[in-house]
Amino acid sequence: MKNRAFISELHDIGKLVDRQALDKLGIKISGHAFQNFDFSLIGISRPSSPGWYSQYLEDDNLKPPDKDLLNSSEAATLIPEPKVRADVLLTKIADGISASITRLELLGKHVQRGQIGEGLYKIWNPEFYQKQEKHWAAFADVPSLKKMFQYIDSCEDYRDFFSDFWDYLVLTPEDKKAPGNIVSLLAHLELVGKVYRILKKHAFLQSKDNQHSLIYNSQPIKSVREACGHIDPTQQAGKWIFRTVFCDIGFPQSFSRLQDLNVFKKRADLIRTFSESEDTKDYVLFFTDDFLCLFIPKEGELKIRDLLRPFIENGFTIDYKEMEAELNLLTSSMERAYRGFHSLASNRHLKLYYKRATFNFLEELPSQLCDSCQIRQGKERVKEQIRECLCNICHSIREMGEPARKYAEWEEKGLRAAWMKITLNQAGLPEILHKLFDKYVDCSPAMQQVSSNDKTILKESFRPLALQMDFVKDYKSLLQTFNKRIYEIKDDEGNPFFTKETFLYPIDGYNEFGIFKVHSNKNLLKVIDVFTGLLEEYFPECIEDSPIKLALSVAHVKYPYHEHWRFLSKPKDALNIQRTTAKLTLSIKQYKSLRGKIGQKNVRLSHFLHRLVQIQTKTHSDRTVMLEVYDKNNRRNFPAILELLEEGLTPQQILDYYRLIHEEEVYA
Amino acid sequence: MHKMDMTFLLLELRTQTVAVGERVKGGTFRPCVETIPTSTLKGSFRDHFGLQNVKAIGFFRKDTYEKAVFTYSPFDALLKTSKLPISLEYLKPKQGFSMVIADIYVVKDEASEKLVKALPAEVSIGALKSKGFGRCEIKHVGEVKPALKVGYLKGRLLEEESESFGIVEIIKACHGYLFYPTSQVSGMYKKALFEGSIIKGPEILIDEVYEYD
Repeated sequence: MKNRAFISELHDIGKLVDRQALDKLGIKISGHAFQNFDFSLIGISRPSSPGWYSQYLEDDNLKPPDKDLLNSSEAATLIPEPKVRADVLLTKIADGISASITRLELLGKHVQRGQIGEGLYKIWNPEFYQKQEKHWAAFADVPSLKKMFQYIDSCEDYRDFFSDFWDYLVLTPEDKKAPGNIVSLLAHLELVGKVYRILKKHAFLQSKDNQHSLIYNSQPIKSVREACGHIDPTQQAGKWIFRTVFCDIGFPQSFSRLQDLNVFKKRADLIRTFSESEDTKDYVLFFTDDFLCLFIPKEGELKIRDLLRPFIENGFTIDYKEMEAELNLLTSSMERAYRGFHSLASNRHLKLYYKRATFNFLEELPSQLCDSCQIRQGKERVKEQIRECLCNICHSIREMGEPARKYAEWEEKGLRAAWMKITLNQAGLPEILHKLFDKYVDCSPAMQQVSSNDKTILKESFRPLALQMDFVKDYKSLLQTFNKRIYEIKDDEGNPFFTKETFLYPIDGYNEFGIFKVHSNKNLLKVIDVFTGLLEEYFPECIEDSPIKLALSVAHVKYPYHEHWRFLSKPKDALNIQRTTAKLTLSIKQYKSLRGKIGQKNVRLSHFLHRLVQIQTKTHSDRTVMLEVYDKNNRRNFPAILELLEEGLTPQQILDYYRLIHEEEVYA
Repeated sequence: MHKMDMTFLLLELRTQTVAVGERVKGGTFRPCVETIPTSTLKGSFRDHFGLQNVKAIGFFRKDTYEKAVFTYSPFDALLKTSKLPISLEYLKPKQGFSMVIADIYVVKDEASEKLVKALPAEVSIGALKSKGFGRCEIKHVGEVKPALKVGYLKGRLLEEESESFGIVEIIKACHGYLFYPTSQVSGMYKKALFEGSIIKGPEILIDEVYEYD
């Protein structure tokens, strides 16, 4: 056997093969694994690298979850090397827990699936594949198929596999049959690879009296079932307990100087380093600039405080929720799984904790607290005749540089600025994905032939983790495109509406956060329009219930930074606008209705809206408001108001929107 | 529901304007909190009634107040100069209410018995007392025997006093510091539990129920 690394990601390389195309060329292939393939058909010999043996994951002899993959004669015959058998077993475990739909055949019942689809179906963007110019298949003829086997033999690093086949992996679904065709093969393989490497890192192969076992946390296993347990939570328990953890990386600082914004850079740098470092990268399933999703062993094996030490030492606070469970029970829909599990009579292990990791607070501090973070001992520092009491961490953040220097120079009379933040609500994302998945299963033509009973089973077996990875990738693309599109907006004369001078991204690479000049309401509306346009482009199915939110806080340039941030950091709906006079929150649908129906400045309309708000405040009665709107004259004069109220908007929201778009003179 | 073997005295506080400051320095804007931390009440009861160790926590009734901003320019009497203007957030009665109302829960013990005897009374809490902020009427309403619950803490209290407040378990601690007055002119900062902490304790301290491990 060649001395190469075992690459677990290669186990699904066969999913990039267009079997129908090869069938037409006389090459019969059954399934996506090639362990039984007749290599003489294409005139080459069977590959022999360790990675090749990942093809045996699907072998009928090794498929039963209770099969001893380390010692059984079938396993030893097919995969001679015990170390490789251990790799295959770990890959099989990783593959099972990474699937977006639980392997239902393991429940012992046949569940019908939908039709085979062409390419990836994104449940938040159904037209995605149709808009692509490329075909999903990387191997559709004999020469390319030969190359695939050569690739299996020669590939030395999973990262090469991802970069060499990236274009195909993002278009190919993990499972071609609906409803499994919703996760990209890339996300599935990234997940399998990471889980496999973490399992391998924390387990070791023990050989005694010619019997082999894999041991993690003093728990020896030989089969998938022994490690993961039965997929039915009321049956056999699994021995291996791991954790999925959602970490919100926060900071205690309140912004009083522009230099305090450096904390974003510090956080983003730490997250990036953590997610790319050889020691820790595989624990990170996906991340954004303020969030990490981790897959880690039990606390006894790896203390979360030790793992997150770089963040804690730099003054960050990590609010995390942690699901600790047997591998087959582990999921990212934590609350849903917890409630489901505890409604059953089961003794198996599934725990859910909400915790915080932060630096160790002293019981008492005798003197000054740091002015910025308020939680560490400060030291008086004088800069440019300003005395401040800062701790070392906050001081070092101040010393990192001068972000948004241009903002400090905005001194035009009467100018206002908008602070902008785009946020992905990670906590709510799994639930939104569940809803989209349910809709797909219930309404897709590809699922028409499936019985309602089987649909219910499929919905219950959905696990959104890999899908979250795909979603976050699209979210990051949206942010990059937003950054680009902002500077592509043109004014009436064809000149750029925003320039690098008037729309700032204070922290390089941190695309969620920007500051721009507000000369008139047009600036705000342009930004909102770019955002809503991109949501429709990337996440059209999320328009009604968007986990991605835009917040804008508009005020004069000297407005307290921490008050901007307080508003930006807690967005309520898809669109959130704070001005000194009012706060407005809207869904995308509401915004579009208002945009379409409230147009020209109209003093009578303004008076009418004020009257409605007054009635609402005084009577707290929607009915009284509606009586006023239904008045014959009002209906005739303001037909749009009735329509907007019927769409669920409140008089206050309509009035605030009206003010927002007609306040030019205030900013001028 | 399991009732705790613990009694709190319930007081009602009424005020027209109050600004219990979030401790933010270095800026020109001072936000206010919407609960009354134990340290604020401890200091107030000590100043007004000479009671050293009253353990009490308060919550403004959400439907009675709204936030507003007051801008003023502090004057340095020593240097006879004005400082940069500061905007201070405060609570004022919501439309339809004449007063901001808060419920104050006092741990029933020797000190609180003395406190009740002194009520009704007028006390001051929070910032800008010299400008008329924080003048409160406070009266004794009754006693409460709360049930034990698990959920998110809705106020701020010193961690060392958590047991006195009937907290039997801290599941998630969100720490911060509260100023602990040691005399009328001095004090120190002590470790405290802030909003967002998850505790097992009396329901009066709990905002939203937590149902996990």
